[in-house]
Amino acid sequence: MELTAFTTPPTPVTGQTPKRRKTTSWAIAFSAGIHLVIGAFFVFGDFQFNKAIDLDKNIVQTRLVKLGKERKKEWLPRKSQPKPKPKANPAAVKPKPAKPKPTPPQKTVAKAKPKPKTTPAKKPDPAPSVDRQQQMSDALSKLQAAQATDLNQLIQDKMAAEEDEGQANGSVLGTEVSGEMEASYNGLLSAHIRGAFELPTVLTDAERMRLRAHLAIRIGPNGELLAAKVTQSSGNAAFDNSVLAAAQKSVPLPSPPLVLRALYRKGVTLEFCPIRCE
Amino acid sequence: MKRIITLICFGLLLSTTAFANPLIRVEGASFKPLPIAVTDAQISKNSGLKKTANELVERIRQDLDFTGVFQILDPKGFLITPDQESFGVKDIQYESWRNVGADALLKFSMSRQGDVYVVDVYAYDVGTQKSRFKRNYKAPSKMIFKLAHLISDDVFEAFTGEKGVMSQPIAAIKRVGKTKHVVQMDVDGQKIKQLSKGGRLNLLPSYAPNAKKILYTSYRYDNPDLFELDVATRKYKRLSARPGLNTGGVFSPDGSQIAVTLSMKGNTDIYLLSADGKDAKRLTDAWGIDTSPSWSPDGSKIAFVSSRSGNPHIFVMDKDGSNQKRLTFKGKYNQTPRWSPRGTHIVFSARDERNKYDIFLMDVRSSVITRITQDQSNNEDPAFAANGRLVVFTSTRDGARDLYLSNLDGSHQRRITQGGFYWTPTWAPFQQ
Repeated sequence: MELTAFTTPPTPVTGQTPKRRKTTSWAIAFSAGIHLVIGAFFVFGDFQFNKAIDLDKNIVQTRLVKLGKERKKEWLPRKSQPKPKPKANPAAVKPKPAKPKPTPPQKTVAKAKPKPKTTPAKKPDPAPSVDRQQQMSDALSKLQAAQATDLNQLIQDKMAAEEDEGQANGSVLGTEVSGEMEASYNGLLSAHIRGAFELPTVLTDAERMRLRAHLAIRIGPNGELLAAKVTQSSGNAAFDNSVLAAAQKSVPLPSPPLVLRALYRKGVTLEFCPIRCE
Repeated sequence: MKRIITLICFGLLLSTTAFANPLIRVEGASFKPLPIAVTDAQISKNSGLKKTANELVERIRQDLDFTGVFQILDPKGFLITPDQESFGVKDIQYESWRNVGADALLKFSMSRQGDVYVVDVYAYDVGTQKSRFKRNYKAPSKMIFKLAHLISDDVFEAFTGEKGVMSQPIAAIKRVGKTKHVVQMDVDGQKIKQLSKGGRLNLLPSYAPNAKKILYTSYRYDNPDLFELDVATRKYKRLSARPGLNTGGVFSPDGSQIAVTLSMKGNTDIYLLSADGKDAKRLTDAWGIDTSPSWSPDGSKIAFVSSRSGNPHIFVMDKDGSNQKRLTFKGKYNQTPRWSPRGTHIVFSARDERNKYDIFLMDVRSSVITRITQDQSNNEDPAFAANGRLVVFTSTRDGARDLYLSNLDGSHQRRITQGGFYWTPTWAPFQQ
C-alpha cells in the first residue's frame, strides 16, 4: 500500500482551473523578472552609492599627511608643537605711554627754528639734537620693549614657527608627518574626532593595547551629531564614556560631501583604539 | 527557476553588503591625567595635629603629581570642607566634587596615639560613586613623612593596578665641592644622602636588583675601577681593577653577572663578569668603542653604545655576545641606552641636528623613535622608574644641572632637585 502511494501521481490539492494556474505562473515569472531587474540594477548599476562604498574601502586606511617641510630621514624626530597663539604684544603696548615724552621738545623745536637764522654760529642747530633725542627715546622704548618681552617665549615662538614639518602636498588638517596621501571625508572625520579623544593616564599598558570600542554615529548634512551609541563595548566603562565624549565634543563634525549625505545620515561606525587598532 | 531564485538572492545579498556601514578607525588618543581632589585631613579639634596633617597631605599631593598620572586639583576651589562630609560611600557629595572637575576623590582622617600617628585613607570614584580604596596606616612620628610616599604608592596602585615608585629612591652622581659623589635621595629630591667617600671622582652608579647595593666607578686608586657599595652601611668593595677602564657596570636582572666596559686589551669593549667581579668574558670585539651596557629585563639581551659605524649608535646583542644588531640609524651621537623594566622600550639621549642633547624613546619591536624632551637646553642621562611609567634625567634648562621626571610621552616634566649639579641618575628597582 505504501509503495502504491509513492508511485501514484499526486492529485491536485486544490480545485484550480488551468486558466488560473496559467495566471499564477505569469505572476511568478513577472515577480522573478522584476527581482532580477532590481538585482541587476544593484549589482551592475553605476550609481553614487556604489561609488561611496568603493571610496570607503580606500578611506579606512587613510592617514592625513601634515602640510609642511619634509624632514631629513637621518634626523631624529621632533615633537609637533602647537602654533603660537596670536596675542597682544605687551612690548608694543608698553612703550606708548613713553612716546608723549619726546613731544614737548618738538614744540620747542618749532619755536626754535627761526633762531638759527639769527645766531647760526653760536648755537648748535637744535634740530639734530632733537632728532638725536628722538632716536634715543625710540631706542630706549625699544630696549624697554625688549625687556618687557618674554625672551623665552620669543625663542619658543621662533622654534614653533620652524615646526611645520610634514610634506609639501600635505593637508593643514593632517596629523602625520608621512603617510598615504588620499584625503577623504572619512579621514577628515577620523582626524577631527581624534582631536577630542582623551583617555585617563591611569590606563595600564595592557589596557592601552587591548581596549577597543565601536561607536555608531549618525551625521546630519551640516555636521550635526544626530545620534551616537556604543555598539560594541570595550568592557571598560571609563573607556566607553571617553569614546562617547569624543564624538560629542567634536560637534560640529565635518559636513559630509553632498553625494554621501544619505549614507552618513543613515550611520557610520567608528572603531576607537587607544594607540593603534592593529 | 532555481537558478533565477539563486541569482536574485545573490543580487540582493550583494546589494545589502554594499550598503553596510563603513568602519572608520579613530586611533591614538591623547592621555590626560586623572583629575583628583585631595582634601585636607580631618582631625579632631585641639589635637595639635594641624601642621603635621597639612604637611603630610601636601606631600601626598606632590607625590601624586610626580606620578604623572593624576591632575591635582587646587583645594582652594573645593566646595566642601573636610568637616562637612564623612567617609561613608553614601555620605560623599559626589555632585559637589564633580562640579569642581574631580573624577576621583581622596580623603584622610588623622589622629595620634602616643608617639604613633594613625592615618585613615579613603579614595572614591566620583563618576561611579564607588569606593576605590580604604586603608589604615600607623607610623611613628619619625616616619610620618615617609608614610606620604607609602600612601601615594598605594593610591597609585589602587587607580592603575600597577606598583607606585614614590618609595623607590634615586641614586645619582652629585658635584660635592671639587669632586663628584654617589648620592641617594627620595623621589621628591628630599633627604639627599652622600654614599661614597673620599676626595676622588666617582661615576656611573647602578642599583643591584635588590636595591641594597650600588655598582659605581671610582678613581679612588687613580684608575677608574669598579666598586660595589652597600647602601645601608656605606661600605665599599673593589670588584674590578683591571688596567684601563672599568666603567658602567650593571648587574644582570638575576644579580648573578655584571656587564661592564673594560679596556684591558687595548680596545674598549663590553665584558661579562661574575657578581664578585671575576671571570671576565669578552662580549664585543668590533672596531670602535663599545660602552654603556644595559640589560633587558628578562636578562637575555644587552643594549649598548658602539661607535663601530662611525658615530655612537645604540646596538643590541644576546647576553653571550651573539646577534649584535644596530638599532638606531638616526641622530649623530646616541648614548646611554636604558632598557625599560617592561622590556618594550629603550630610552637614550642623543644629539639632534641643532646640536642639543635630548631624551628619546625607542619601541624595541618597531624601532620607532619618539622624542621626550625638546627645545629646553641639554637633557641627558635618562633612566626608567621601576614601573616603567616615568623617566628621570638631567637637564640644564634652569641653569644648573638638575634631575627631572617625565612621562614617556614627554608630558608632565617636573624638576625634583633644586640648583645642584647631577649626573647619571638611576632609579632603585622593586626589591625582589
